[in-house]
Amino acid sequence: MATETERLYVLPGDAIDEPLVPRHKKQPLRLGPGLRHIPPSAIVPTVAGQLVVEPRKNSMWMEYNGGRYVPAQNDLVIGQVQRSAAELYLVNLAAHTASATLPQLAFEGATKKTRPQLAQGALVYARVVLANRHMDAELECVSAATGKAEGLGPLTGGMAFDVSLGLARRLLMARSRDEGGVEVLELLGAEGLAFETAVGRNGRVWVGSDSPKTIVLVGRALRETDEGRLDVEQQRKLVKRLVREMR
Amino acid sequence: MAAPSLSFSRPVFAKLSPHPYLLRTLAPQPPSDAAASRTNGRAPQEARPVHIHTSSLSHAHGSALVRTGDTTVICGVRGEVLPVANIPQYRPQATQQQQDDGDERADERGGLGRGELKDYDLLVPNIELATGCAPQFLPGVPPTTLAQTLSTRVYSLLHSCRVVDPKSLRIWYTPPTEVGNNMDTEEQQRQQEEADDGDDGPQLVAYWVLYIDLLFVSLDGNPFDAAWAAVMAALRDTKLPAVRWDPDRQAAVLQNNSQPTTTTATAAAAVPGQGKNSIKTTPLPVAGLPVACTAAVFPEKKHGGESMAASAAATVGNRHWILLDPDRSEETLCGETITMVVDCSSGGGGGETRIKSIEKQGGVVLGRELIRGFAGVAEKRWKEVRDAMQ
Amino acid sequence: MTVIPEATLSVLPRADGSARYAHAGYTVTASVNGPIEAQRRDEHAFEAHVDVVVRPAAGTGGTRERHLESIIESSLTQLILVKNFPRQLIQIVLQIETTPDNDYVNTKLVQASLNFPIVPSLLQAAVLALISAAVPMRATATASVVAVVSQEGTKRLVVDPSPRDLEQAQSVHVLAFTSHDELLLAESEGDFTVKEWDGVYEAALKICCRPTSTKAGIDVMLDDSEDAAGSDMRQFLRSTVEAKVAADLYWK
Repeated sequence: MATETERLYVLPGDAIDEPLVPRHKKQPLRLGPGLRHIPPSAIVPTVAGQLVVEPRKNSMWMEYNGGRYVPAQNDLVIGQVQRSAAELYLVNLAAHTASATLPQLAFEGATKKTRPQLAQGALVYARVVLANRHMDAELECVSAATGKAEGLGPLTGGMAFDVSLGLARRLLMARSRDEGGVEVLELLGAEGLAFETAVGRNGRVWVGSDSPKTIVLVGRALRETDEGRLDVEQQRKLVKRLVREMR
Repeated sequence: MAAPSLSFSRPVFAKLSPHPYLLRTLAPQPPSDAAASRTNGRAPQEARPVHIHTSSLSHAHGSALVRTGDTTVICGVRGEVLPVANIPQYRPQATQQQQDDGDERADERGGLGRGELKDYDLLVPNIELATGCAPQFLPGVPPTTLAQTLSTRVYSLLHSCRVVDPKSLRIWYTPPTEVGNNMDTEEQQRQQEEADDGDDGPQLVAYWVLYIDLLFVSLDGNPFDAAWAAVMAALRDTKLPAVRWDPDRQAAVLQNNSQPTTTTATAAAAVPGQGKNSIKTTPLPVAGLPVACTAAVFPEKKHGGESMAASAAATVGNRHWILLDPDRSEETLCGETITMVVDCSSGGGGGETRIKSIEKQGGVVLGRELIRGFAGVAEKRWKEVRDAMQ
Repeated sequence: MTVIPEATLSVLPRADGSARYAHAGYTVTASVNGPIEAQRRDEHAFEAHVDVVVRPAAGTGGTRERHLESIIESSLTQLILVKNFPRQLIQIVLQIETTPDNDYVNTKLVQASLNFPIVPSLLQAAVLALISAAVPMRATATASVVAVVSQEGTKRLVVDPSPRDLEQAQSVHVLAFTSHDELLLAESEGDFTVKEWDGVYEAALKICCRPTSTKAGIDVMLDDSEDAAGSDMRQFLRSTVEAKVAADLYWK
């Protein structure tokens, strides 16, 4: 496990020492979630967590788990259609929050005639285009640049599982095994199970497969990894056990 | 067509953006050398004058009408007899012993602990914010949080200040070996204490319960100060009728005529209204004169400035004003409030001011120094209210 | 009598954040949900509505609970960055589980008077639950209750007074400070002078704001050997939260 540097845990409102803030000559300082800038120069954490500083990218952010999903731009999320309005769908990203809007034309190749018909309760994999504290979030299922779906769109069949925001973030990491310490999906695939997943930053993982057994098994593996805080070695054992139980 | 004018009349400006409006009057721009004043024309630390009128309700044992600016509250105090037999958790021993010598000790000890007043609920304040006293009070809704909070605060303060001595609420009965029917309660009690030996001594048979009802006729900010002043004025005005215990009826009767007064109808039978001259009354002794003084903190930055930046940033944007006796529009703009209850009446004014309560919440501007300084403001307010009471 | 506070974070799996806090005979469980959609009448155009619900250990809440709620709410609104979530609601439910028993008086179920000694426990539980829910905050807060007890003519300060102490107390004070040493909340009742209040302030400041240095990530507690008595609330808060964060980031 990571012991390379001293971990720096901070609480909301703590003062961050000036030397810790990266000073890059050209790039502007990039602040990730959990930090705010108070003019003129103070950087203050707003949540409790570990302060991570990346001097090469001239960025810093807070690493923490928990809480409720707050939409942020470019996040990939799994939403549930609540109802359909004239030109858009109202999509729920987390329980009891204001719904996000998904224009009915924001799908690949959608026109007035060919737009997808989504029923109430349908799941969609979407990207957050607009997240503003004063407005409801706006989603899209098509890349504005390429006009292609790029994996986004309605999720048919399968089932969505709730996981913690921290696990969702780790699953979305480019190298989720090395950086995020989560290998459970790869391990399940290596066991010969055929399934596909979509991970939403809002703490939802969709699992699709022809076999309902597989779906439930993958979901259980994810939940147990999350709740039991399993490391890679324990995940291996878990996958072995689950697969044995199924057969 | 002329370009639309961007200047508003004062009331429009005040309605549209109350915060900048108040800020502008408090901090006039350099060219004008007007003194800092609030939108209501008062100086920041100027309270509204208090008007108190007592004995305005004919069917209460004591009452007071208090008016500060447009905040008007009326308070009525009504006494009802509560026989000890009707108190479910009554504990006779404790009280009887206290009556002999324990009382003095308890007084010296000066604890905030419970006593008869609290255990038997002898003081029952209730606050009603009348429909229409301010725009936010609608008819037919349950008591607002404000009303509930106010009544908790009044209740607590009544007990922690110990303005009413439980001794003055006790009703005694002496078995007929001693003939003391014509004496009023205090004389009776005195004699009974002298002749106190064994079981034949006086018995505590009932208590007066004081129902203290407050009604806000109109509310323009600072309800607590007005409510508390009304409670104090009404209690000082309260005169309880002299009653004697009739063991046969198990009820208290008025001293002069033998008209029975059932426990629930006591107040009705004993109101000063009918037969005022025939009924003997004794004024309720009230200890001290605590006076509440409230102020709100108006920050220059709306919704609270950055506390962290207070040291780093320049003074601009971090000023604040302490507005004494805020009115309703000021209350909506201020988050932080302080209420201090002081009593300067002990020691003939020369003694040290006793603080009875501090309630400061909702912000971080008022620190130690400002609260210390606020004690002086509260003392000044105490004198004003005392003068109004007399 | 000083009992070391105990706290557990994220005790309720369904809530966004939660904490159980036990100190001086009081146990409070707090849950935080938010930011969630506010009801139309609670909506505020520019900031989040902070809704605090206090549930007593027995019976239903009355006027006293409403007052406690208003105290806690006004304090938390100062801590939470409410402007980050306009038109939203942050709901905090504080369930009182145990209170120190007063075994020599027959207690009434519904008490109308203020209950100062519970305020620090409520506030502390709420702050911990907010941290657990990762609700953005301006600062954290610590609180303490101090009573002035007069004994044989001399007055002494009692931190975390027992119910017995409270019976005999001349005045009771609750003070809360933010992590920037600002006075957040000051509630006092009884009979006291400015000078006495100053003494109480000093004592509470010592408990709530003992300086710790966080230089380079190592928390060095400045050792005040002169008054080892009295807990150090700020250090307690920090160590509790750090343990939780470290457990959350087990995969790092």
